[in-house]
Amino acid sequence: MVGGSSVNAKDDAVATLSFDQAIFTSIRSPMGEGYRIVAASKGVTPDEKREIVQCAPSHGSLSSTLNEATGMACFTLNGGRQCVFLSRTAGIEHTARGGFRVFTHVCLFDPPVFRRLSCDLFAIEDALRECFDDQQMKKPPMCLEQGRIALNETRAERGAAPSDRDLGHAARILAAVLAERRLLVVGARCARDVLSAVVGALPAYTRRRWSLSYGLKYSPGRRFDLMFTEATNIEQTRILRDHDVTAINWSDQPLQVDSPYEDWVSFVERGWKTGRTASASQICAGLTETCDPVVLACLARLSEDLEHVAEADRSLLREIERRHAGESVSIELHQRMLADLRKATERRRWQIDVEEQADAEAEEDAILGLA
Amino acid sequence: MAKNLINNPKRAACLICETPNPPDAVLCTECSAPMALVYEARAQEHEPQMVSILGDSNVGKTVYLGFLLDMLSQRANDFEAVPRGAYSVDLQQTVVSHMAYRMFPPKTPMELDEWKWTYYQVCKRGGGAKWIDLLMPDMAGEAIAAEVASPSTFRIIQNLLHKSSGLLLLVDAALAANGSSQPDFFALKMMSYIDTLFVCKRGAKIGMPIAVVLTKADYCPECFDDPARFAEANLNRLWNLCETRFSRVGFFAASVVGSLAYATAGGDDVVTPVPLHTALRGVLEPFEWLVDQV
Repeated sequence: MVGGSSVNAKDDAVATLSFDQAIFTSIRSPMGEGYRIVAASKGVTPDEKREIVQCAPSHGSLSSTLNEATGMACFTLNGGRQCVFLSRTAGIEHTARGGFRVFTHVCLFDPPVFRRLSCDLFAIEDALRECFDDQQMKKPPMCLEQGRIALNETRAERGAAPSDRDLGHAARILAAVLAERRLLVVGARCARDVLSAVVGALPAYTRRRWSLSYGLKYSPGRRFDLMFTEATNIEQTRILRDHDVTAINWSDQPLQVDSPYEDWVSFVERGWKTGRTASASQICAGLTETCDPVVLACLARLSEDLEHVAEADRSLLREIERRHAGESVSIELHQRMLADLRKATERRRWQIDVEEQADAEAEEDAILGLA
Repeated sequence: MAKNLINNPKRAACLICETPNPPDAVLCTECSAPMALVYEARAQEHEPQMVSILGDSNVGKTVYLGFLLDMLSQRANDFEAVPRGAYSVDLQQTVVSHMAYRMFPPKTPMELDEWKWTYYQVCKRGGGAKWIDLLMPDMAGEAIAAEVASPSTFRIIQNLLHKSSGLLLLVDAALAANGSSQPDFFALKMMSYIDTLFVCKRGAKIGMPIAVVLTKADYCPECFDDPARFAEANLNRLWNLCETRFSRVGFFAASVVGSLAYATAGGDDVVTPVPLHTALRGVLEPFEWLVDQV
């Protein structure tokens, strides 16, 4: 076990956390018609409602034109709460002029709750996607209580990896995000999987600060940091330039970006290639405080060395110890991983001692038997 | 201040919110209004007059504005209109071509960058013809409703109203005639919002000309006979507020659709209205009145 939050995640395996929620969609009701917040729990403040309405997706905002289109967004509200949009189509809009009706379940998480959820919106999405059934989406409830989320297994323990053909793009996107570049990714084959993998490899601290979306059309009103969409046009490309957003087309070569986080990105990429995504994911879940590229690189090396210790011989153990001997420790997770490494090397040394002793005894027995 | 920024070649200030933008920006980085408006205004060397079209979702703002512009560009009633930039023609083209295919145009999305803006130079021929530059955005009804319900949700609407020389407030006459209080309440909220926006001394009235257009009047033909009386009877809350707080309000009835059919697919509970033909009535009058007033 590497990161501290995975331990917490186990402790919290059956815990449920409460959150405020709202529904943004288009229905005809005595209070009006068209897209608006049709129901909200009591804790949603007027200021939060205003911010939600400013960027919630209305008709034609989902980038897929299919009947079963879905979209998601996550961003921080001015008041500090984390806002998650889970959008999907819910039949035809009642005026028949608005195409598919977009139904958005808005969830607001207090910062401590979001941290306990490892700031991982894909885990949240997995847990909440089925909150409303078809009938409820057709006729949304007029009033809402606070919602509850139960995470039986956090994603921090499993991680996620993009497919082999998407690895190059995903790694460069991760590097760009860590270097604080705002991106619009167009035409990604498996947008959700790629974004999920990138998010899984971002420190929880960064996840909390970064706003992102997938499945929604680009609009300057939704000023998110990382957006995955299906298509864009020439005018939008010019608008992106004005807003300092870099557009990445999936059919082009992966983005070349200078990032001080290259060591970390390489570590994550190796994990994606070998299917060992849990290590990076667990470290990220535990990184709830800001950390610089040097620390991330240290953690990456520590994590890999921890995996090597189990198979190491004496010289490799010495080499690993030497590598981490003078490391300055600034965050708790780093300290914990160093302690884990010390324990692991001691255990491995003891194992080697035992093995060597057993070998010596076996050799002695063999010599005695021969005599 | 805006005038200076319009003429400043290095930073183009948005016509709506006056935020300085890079010289080649497409949309205002703050409010998403098209910067083409600024470049056009710069070429004309003066700021255009703005007329805002307000109304609830599904009241018919897009269809009304589309046909109004089409009538103007077809020189209806001695009007002459010149679109400033191809983008100004998009709206009327969308409306006219959809109606020709017996479809209502798509709803205007809430996303600001999806709104269609029109910039026209209009004049009425005859003695002493004076050209007026008119800027009319087609705003989403949902965005207007959200702004009215919670001011500053869409600041662009607030800024637009502040800069408007006149307003066209569209109210669904068919719903009102049917006994629904929704059009009356929405219009009341809208006028109350405008009243708050243009704060003036107690007892003084707001002088901005406002044309209240009773749309879908073909459902209640009596509306055409005396729109003001219709409003007094069916939109009484709105009528009272107008009387108390606004000095220049005109009531007009308008209709665009001649006959309407309803279509539905088997097993589908969505009913689609099909405009079988258009029969424009009362579309130009509110605009003509407004142009006379500004």
